[in-house]
Amino acid sequence: MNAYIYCFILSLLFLAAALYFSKTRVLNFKYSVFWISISLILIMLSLNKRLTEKMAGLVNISYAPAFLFVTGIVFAFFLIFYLTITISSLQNKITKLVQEIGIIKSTKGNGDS
Amino acid sequence: MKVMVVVPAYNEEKNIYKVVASIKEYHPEIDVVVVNDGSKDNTCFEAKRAGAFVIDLPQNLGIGGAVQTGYLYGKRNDYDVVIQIDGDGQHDPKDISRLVEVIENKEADMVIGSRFVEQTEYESSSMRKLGINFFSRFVSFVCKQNFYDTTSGYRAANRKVIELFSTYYPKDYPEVETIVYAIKRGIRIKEVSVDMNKRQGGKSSITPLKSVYYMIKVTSAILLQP
Repeated sequence: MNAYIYCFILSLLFLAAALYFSKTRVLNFKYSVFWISISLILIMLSLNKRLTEKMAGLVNISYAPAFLFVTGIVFAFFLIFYLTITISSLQNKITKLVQEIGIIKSTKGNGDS
Repeated sequence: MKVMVVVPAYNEEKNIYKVVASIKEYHPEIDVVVVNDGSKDNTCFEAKRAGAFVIDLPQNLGIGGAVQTGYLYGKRNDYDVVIQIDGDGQHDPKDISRLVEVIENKEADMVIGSRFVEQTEYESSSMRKLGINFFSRFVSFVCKQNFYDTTSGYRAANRKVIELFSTYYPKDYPEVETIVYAIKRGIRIKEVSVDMNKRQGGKSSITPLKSVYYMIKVTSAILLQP
């Protein structure tokens, strides 16, 4: 099987998953838009060999897949970084909630647990 | 003055009764609030039995989150002074009045019960000493004021500090960082010599790997002050 067809099929599966989880609203919609665009970009890249080579040429990378790898890894790093920021903010919110619940529970009634 | 003591406790069923009872014995007029940090044992029951008011956290938040709950409670209920005492029985409640006195006389906004201002009977291992020494020098340098016992969890805070800590308090290993955080916000801190007992039960939570994390985390938290 052609490598590009292989990538195309993977991207298509990815798009299907993104659409499914967006439709069921398991994934918050602001993330859905992001993931749907990502899967569309992947499809475009896998269908258009020239485009990839052209972009690699722009930054003087002669081997196009290497360009994709580097971009992909850096992109993944940024994404993980963003996720840890989101997790931290969730953690702070949870801490606040737990403290409030603890105080409310102890002042109303005897706080059975 | 309306004074309360906050005792953060996680799985301290063996010690908490004694800790609360001895505070009550020395200072029956002070409210004792135990923040039960999602313990899996009978901490809550034991604390209540000793006459403490218990805040039962539905999830474990770690030492920082638990102590902060105490400050939040103190702020909501209009306390003038919040005193922090460890739940493992290391701190001697007979020193409470000396800590409160400093705040009452307006000599400082926050008081730290320190093991090292004068020679006390407290002894610790050499590795521990090294860490304590390092932070003492580092914090003294950053704050331009001498601090001897930066890791002590025996503290008293006035309204200004209660307000400050109920908005921000570090999640883990908070003791050292809070000194720098407070000083940088114009809080006056004074150390008062106290006696510390060897822990009466339970194990120290600091393992070699954790102490490496401790050093790195606390140092970078001081360098990167909010």
